[in-house]
Amino acid sequence: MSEQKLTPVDIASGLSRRASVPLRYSEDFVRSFFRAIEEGLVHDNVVKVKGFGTFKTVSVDPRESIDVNTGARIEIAGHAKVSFTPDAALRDAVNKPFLEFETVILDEATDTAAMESLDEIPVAVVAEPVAEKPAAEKPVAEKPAAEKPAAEPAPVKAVAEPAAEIPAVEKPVAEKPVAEKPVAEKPVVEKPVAEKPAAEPAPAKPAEKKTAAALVADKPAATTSTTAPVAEKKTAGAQSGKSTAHALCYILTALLFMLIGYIIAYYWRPVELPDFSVKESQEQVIPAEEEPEPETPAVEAQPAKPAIPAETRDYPQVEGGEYWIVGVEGTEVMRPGKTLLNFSLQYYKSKDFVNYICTMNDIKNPDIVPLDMELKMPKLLKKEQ
Amino acid sequence: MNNKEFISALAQQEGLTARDTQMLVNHLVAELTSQFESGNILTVQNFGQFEVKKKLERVVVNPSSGQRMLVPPKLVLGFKTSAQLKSRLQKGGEA
Repeated sequence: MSEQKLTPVDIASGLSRRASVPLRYSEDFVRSFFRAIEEGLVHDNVVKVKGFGTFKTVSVDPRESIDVNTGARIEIAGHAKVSFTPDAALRDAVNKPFLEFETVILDEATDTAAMESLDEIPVAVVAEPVAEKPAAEKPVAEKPAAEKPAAEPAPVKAVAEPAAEIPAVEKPVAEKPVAEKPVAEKPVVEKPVAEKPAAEPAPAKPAEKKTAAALVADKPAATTSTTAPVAEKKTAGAQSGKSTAHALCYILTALLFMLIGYIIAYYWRPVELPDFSVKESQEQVIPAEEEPEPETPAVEAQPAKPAIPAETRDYPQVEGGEYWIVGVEGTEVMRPGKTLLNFSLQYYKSKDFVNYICTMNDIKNPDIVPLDMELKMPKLLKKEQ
Repeated sequence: MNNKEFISALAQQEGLTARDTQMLVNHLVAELTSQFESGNILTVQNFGQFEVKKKLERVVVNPSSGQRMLVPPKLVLGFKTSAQLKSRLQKGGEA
């Protein structure tokens, strides 16, 4: 911001450029613009100019005061003041650099003393106009940091000795690694997950794995991009750059481990290949009946279920049930006095099959079955154990 | 005096139509806005001084609820009346 002192002539030259009118004319216009406001103020006490603002005269009543030098009572005469309220558009345009900030409600526990100690730094920097913006932004950015260590004595001490200010300012830096730690650990935690599908691959799996790896790779990238601005905001100091580099190192190491795991899994695959090719054919069928945990039971279930009837795919299946639903045995209509238990006994000579009827007809609550509902009785086939 | 009255008064002074005046005023306001945006100070003789001032962030307290709020820093356009305009207003329009 290069602050220049302008006169109406400067404004007039700008106006003549904008409105393409001669300079002499625009000079005259600017002068009469302010004269008109003046006239309006004198005669009407209030002048509104659209897009610019409102001028108002405020009359100040006479009041008594004391001359600070002589101690004598004097009367300050009543006079008029002019107040100017900029229009919302002008106000926002002027305040553009700080427009995104909002008033924040403070916590009860917030220690304002700690914040004031932080204020000392921006006040010092405000003197030089070039550093204005970061300096003014700083207090807001540091505020969360200041709120947290409120209980600690360090910031309070900072008021007393300016040398102790540095730890207070460094607080966000110290906190940041803590905040980033979960981020840095995340890929590490995800690594076994990424390796797991790799450990039980099928011919089609490597491609999936790759996308999974790519996804995981994307994630840390996204987290770094989100942490980076946070890091920038919190402190403009050199420490922030350092800890960002640390976090980057963590993530890169995690990525490296994942890559190694992926390569190992890839080389192990051919050894187990015949085994898995069989499993894959089953895995295509199994997800139809067993939606949750489709991967882990696949390994154990493999010898247990050698033959699954093809018809099972067309019907909903009971999870963990002893029977497959392979067809429709018959249809019944719900009448008053009938229960699912009746049907179960009628069709299967046992009351244990209500569950299958519910699954077949997509009934959520067996106690509530709408009247006249058409019920399909499932044809059951015992699972081979 | 609202905007319409102001424009008509200015139009009369300048011998222009209200529409042309409004257009010129809009251009003038746009020019002023861009100047204030870059932080420039405008001093108009016998009228006053427009200046963009920096307000630091501050903590305010809601007197009824006792709730404390942090108001962000901001830039505001201030106006300082010139001594001549003040004295003219005091005399009630003479001089």
